[in-house]
This record gives sequence, C-alpha cells and structure tokens, in this order.
Amino acid sequence: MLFNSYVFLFVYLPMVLFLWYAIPDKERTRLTILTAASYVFYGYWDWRFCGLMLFSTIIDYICGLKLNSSKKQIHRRFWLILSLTTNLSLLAFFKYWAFGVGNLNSLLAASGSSTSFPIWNIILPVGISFYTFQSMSYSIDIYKDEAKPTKSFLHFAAYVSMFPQLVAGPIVRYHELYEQLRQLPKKIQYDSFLLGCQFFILGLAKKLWIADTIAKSVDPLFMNNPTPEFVTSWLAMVGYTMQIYFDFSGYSDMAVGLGLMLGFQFPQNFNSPYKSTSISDFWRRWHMSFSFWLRDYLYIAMGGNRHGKLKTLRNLMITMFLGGLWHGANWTFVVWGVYHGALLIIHNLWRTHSKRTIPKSLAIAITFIAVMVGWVFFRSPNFTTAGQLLFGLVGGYGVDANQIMTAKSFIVIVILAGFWCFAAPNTWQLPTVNKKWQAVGLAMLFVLCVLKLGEPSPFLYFQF
Amino acid sequence: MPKKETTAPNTLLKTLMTSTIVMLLITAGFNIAIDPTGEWPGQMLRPLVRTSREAKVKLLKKQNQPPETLVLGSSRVMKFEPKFISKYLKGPVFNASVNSAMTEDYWAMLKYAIDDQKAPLKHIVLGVDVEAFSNARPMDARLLATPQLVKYLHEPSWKVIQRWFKRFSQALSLPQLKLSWRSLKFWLNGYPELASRYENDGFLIYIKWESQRKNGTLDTKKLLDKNKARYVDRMKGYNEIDSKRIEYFRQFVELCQSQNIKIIAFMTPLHPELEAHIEQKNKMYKELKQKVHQHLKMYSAQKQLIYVDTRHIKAFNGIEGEFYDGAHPTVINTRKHIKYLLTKKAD
Repeated sequence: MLFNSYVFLFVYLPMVLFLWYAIPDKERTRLTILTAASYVFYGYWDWRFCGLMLFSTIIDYICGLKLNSSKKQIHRRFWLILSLTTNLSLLAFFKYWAFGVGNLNSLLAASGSSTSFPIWNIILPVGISFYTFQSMSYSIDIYKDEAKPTKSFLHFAAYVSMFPQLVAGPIVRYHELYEQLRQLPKKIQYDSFLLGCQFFILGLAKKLWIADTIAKSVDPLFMNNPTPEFVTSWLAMVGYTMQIYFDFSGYSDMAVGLGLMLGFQFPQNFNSPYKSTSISDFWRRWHMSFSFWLRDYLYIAMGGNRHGKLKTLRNLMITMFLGGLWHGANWTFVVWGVYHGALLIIHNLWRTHSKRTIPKSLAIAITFIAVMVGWVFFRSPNFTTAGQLLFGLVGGYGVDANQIMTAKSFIVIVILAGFWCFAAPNTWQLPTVNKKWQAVGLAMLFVLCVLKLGEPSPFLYFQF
Repeated sequence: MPKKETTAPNTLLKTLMTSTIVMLLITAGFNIAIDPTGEWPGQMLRPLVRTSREAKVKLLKKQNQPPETLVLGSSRVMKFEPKFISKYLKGPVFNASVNSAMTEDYWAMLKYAIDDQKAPLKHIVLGVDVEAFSNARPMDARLLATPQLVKYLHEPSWKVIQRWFKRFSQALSLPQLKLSWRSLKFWLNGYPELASRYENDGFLIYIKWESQRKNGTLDTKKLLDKNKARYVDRMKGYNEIDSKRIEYFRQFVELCQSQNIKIIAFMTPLHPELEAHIEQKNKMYKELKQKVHQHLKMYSAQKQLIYVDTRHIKAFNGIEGEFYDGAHPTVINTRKHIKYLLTKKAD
C-alpha cells in the first residue's frame, strides 16, 4: 500500500488511528492492532511477503533472547552469526540471486565453460533491505551490550513491522523505540499530532508535486537517448538529482509524520544534503539512518579510522562498495558506491594533507557537482547509458540551445526545486503551524496533493 | 517585547481537519454535480463523454412502446436499422448495441429491458464479436459506470465496494477536476459538434463520416489502415474463451428461452483485409473465431438459438467497399445482412 493512495489516506490511516487511540489503556491490544495493521499494509503488495517478515522477526527475536542469556562468548557469537546469516541469506536470495548467478554464468561462458546455472525469476519483496537491516541492528546491539533484548515478542514484532517506516525507512534502531514502545501515548498529543500532519503533508507535496512532476521529464531522458546533447544531459542529471531528493526525503517526511501521529519519534533521515560542504558532510545529511547504520555496523566494526591511514581508506571503500550494492543488484549501483568511496578517500586525503580552506559556497558547489555525477550511475539502467550521458555532459554530442526553450517549464520546476534545496529550511527546521491561516493553508496543500493521487507514482526507494 | 500570539494545537488541528474535510467535500461535490464523465445519477450537465451504454439505457427508457425486438451486440451492429428490421419482424424494434460489447453486456441490457422497462420481447438480433468472449479484457469501464446495467452483473460485494470507492476517489482527482472545468466551459460557451448521434430507436448516425461520404471525402482506406493496429491490440492476450463470459452467455440464452424470446445470432464480419491482417499478426485469432463459432453452433444444435453463419461478408453478398473503417459497415451492407439473417431465420 502506498502512502500516496486513496485507500491509504481515506480508509487505512483513519481506521488505524481510530483503533490506536480508541483503547488507550490496553497496551497489548494496541500493539497487536498496530502489528496486524502493519502486516496488512505490507501484505497489500503481496501477502506472501508477510511470511518472510514474520520469519525474520521470529529468528531475530529468538537470537536476541539467546544472546542475552548466553554466558559464553562462543555461544553469543553463534546466536549473532545465526541472526546475521539468516537476514543476509534472505537478502542475498531475494535480491542478489539473479544478479549473482547471471554474473557467474557470464564468467563461466567467458572461460569457455558450457555450464550455466538457472536464473530464477524471484520477486523482490518490497522493503526487505530496510527491515532486515533494522532487524540485524537489534541483534548486533545486544551482542555489543548496547541494547537490552525485549522479552515481549509483540514489542519486537511491532518494532520490525511498524508500517510508517517499514518499506523505505528511516531505519530505526531498537533502542530508539525501546522506551516509546513501553510508554505508548494514551491520548492524542495534539502538538505532536499536528506536527505529524505537517510532516506528512509536506512530504506528500514534495513527492507528488515536485518529484513526480520532475520524473515525467526526467524518465524519458534516461531511456532510448543514445546521443544526448549538452543541455539534455545536464537537464537529465540535475533533474534526477532533484527528483531523488524530493522523492526519498518526501517519503521519509511522511514516515516521520505518521510516526508522530501515532506518538512515535523517528530519527531524521535528511538534513538538507545538497547544502553539504564536503562529501563526508553529504553522508552525514543524506539517508542518515542508513549511512549511520553503515558507519556503526560496518565501518567502525572493520576498525574505522583506528588502525592507520591505509586501513581507514580501505574501510571507507569497502563500506561504500557494500552501501552501493545494498541499493540494488546491478553493477551501476556498485560503481556508484565505489565512486562515493573514492570521493570520501580523496576528501580524507585532502583534509590530512592540505592546509588550504576553500570558500563555503565553492565547497558546496564542488560537492553538489560530485554528487550529481554519482547520480548518473545510480539512475542509468546500464553503463552504456551512463557513459553516453557523461559524454553528453561535456558536450560530446554537441550543444543544442533550442532545448532550453523546449524544456523551459521543466527548467523552471528544477530551478524552484533547487531553490528549495539550497535556500529554504528543510522540514525539520520549519516551525510548527501556529496560526489558523497556516492550518488552512496546510489543509489546502493536502487537498492539492489528494487531487494528484490518481496518477501512478511509486517511490524510488521501494526498489531498494 | 510583546508576546507572540499562538493558537492552541488542538484548535489548530481541528481547523486543519475541518478545512480539509470541507475542501474535499467541495471538490467532490463540484465534480459529482458537473459529472463530466456521466458516472453519477441525475446529471446536471451533458457529460463530455457520452457512452453508448448510458445513451442506450436512456433511449430505451424513453420508448413510447417498449420494443418487441432488441438488437444486441457491439458498435459493429449499431447500423442495424430498426425500421428495416421491422419489415421482417413484427412490433417495435430497438437497437441496444453498445461499444465493445461483451457477453455481460448482452445479459445486463437484456435484464434492463425485461426487468426495468418491462419490454415484451419476442426477438433478439444478436451480433457476436470474437472479442465478446475474451479472457484478456476486463469488464468494460463504461459498463461499470452505468448504474442501470451494473446492478445486473454478478459481482462479489467487495468488488461493488471497490467500484464505489474508485468512483469517489475519481471525484477527488485532478483529471476529473479538469474535465469538470471543461464541461462547465462547454455548457457556458456551447458544445462542439458531435461525431455521431443516436436516433430514438437506437440507430447510429455517423454525422462526420456520413457527411464526408456524401461529399466523397471519406478516406475508408486510411481509416481501415488505422484500425489494423487497434484491432490487433484488442486481441492481445486473448488465448481462450473466458469461462465467466461463457456463463453470462449461458444465462442470457436461458433467460431468453424462459421468456420465449427467439435469438437470431450471428458473428459480426470484418472487412476481409482487416481480418487477414489480424490473422497474420495474431496466430490465435483464427482458432478463437472458430471456437466462438462452435459455441454458437452448439446452442443452435440444442435449439436454444438460431445461428446464422455470416462470418464472412460473402455469406450475404456484402460489399467490401461498404465499410466505413473496415469494421463498421454502412447501411447498404447491414441491410443485406439483415435481409439474409431474417429470411434465413424464416427458413
């Protein structure tokens, strides 16, 4: 079920909110309702996905308890490995099987072997990358004694499946929700509910009015365009840069908003990433819950920056390589990850060796351009398209100034979106509505969004 | 420093909710009142898209004398003249054919004529398209948008709820709002000329084509060529005659039998060039056509209907040049067709 659908807004959400607040004193019943509702939300795509999520939940719940009760380190390690293996196997099978086998077959064919393995057409369960990472963080935190396991399966199931952030994050860690699940709000907290509505409506507007409008012009530019000239190439790159930000941060805002409506506080996922002054700054502002996950569970686990320069750089590259792969089973994502790894390494070396400081606006511009070039790999279906677009960006296929006139409405939207990214405060920095006219304005924005619901518009990050 | 005035969150939340509900109701109310697509009862303005189902239902209701003969089928039988049929069959005739008719359309229209309009039917002239039994085409949205007919469809209640929900959702959509606005503008500034209209007995007049034909400017070859891709597309995914549609047809035949209504059925022929093109592009077409033919023959053998084989225009000495667009025959061909069908029936 999509947040931006009639059924979600007019049937599902009102029902869930009503049931959630209708029985304020029965905590278990409320959590059962929330969990059941989340499974309905998830099963709306395909009911078979629910079994998978339940399986992952059961395994991690058991592993969490066992990790806590085991005294010997070897036993603790066993339960941790079981949790990680289960989650990563699920991810590997559903997300990377076809990719892995396809590459293996190509390698075998290249080496002259006639052996080939069957490539099964496996459906990728929506959001599997998100909830497996969330679930894994629980086991790792318990292993590291940074979190206590829950004895209540219901608490854990509610945590894993919570519908606002289930399919596209933010990736919430258990300790962030531990207390909140124990102290459920008994009645509507008007201020946080209102803030939730504000987050949700702004997120919806970002998605439907900006990202989707841009997508209509951007999508064709990445398809069947073998000789993109200069203007078209730049429009494609800048357009997608805006599209992905408004799409994904819009979704995150909606998730945070829904959480607030239910009385939960989720972490911030975007903090004006295009205002970043360096690539490492960018990763502190873009998809924050994911980059912090990578930092804490991968980069630091590999030693972080504690074992000398060379190993630090190696750790950065491995982290970003895997971060790229996490986004999808395609070499373009891997290259995008490696590209960011390389940028982080360059930045790290620059910081160590250069005493020069560059003006803030120049730093922002350089970072922004570097990030945009990365999006070319991220968005392109293959390297041929990416190569053609990069060649077009430097004028390899000529310059056609008439394209500016042809795409003028698209350019206006992109400029407005850019203004929002660079000059306006982000959703977290905005004050809560405090005047009646502002509330009416918000209502008007919501109605404008509702009018756009009829158009098909899946979220970009659902595929990851 | 003066204290900044702020409103309490609960008041703001109430304002937000109330304004949202009011604005949504105004939007939906406006779209439902204007009803540009003719999906709600009690239309105030003429819908932008007049669907044949809605038009035929209204015309049938307006008949002074309920018909004794009903012409059913797709747009390919819309030029079957009720007046000409009256020469062979007694009593008033009404052409109730609708665009892209499937078997559920035959059923729903028959039920509407019998149950709602109390038509004392004696005959049904039924033109069956190969696509009428398609297992690839969903129920026609225009049928689902005609409340007078949709009530006769066997749909589970969840589907009915889903349909109503979809209708309400549509009333809250930007495309619908744009259409309403256009409809309002037409109402204020005058409607554009229609390409076709129905006479009171349901007979179709192609205003544009017929006037072009008179002037000798109708390019039938161009229209036929244009239809080729369209008709190949209509057959896409159709690989078996659909069990639900077989069931609708069975019920239709049985209801006619129980009411002593004679069915004179035939398969609608296409221009041979168009047919050859579909056969060439779709390997299943010939087989499916044969299956529909066999299905009708089976009922004929059981004496449940009269089936006249007119799969090819040769059967009734039809003229290749007497099609507007390769699929829709002119009145010259339909008269030949009717004559052949009804004299054959008399045999």
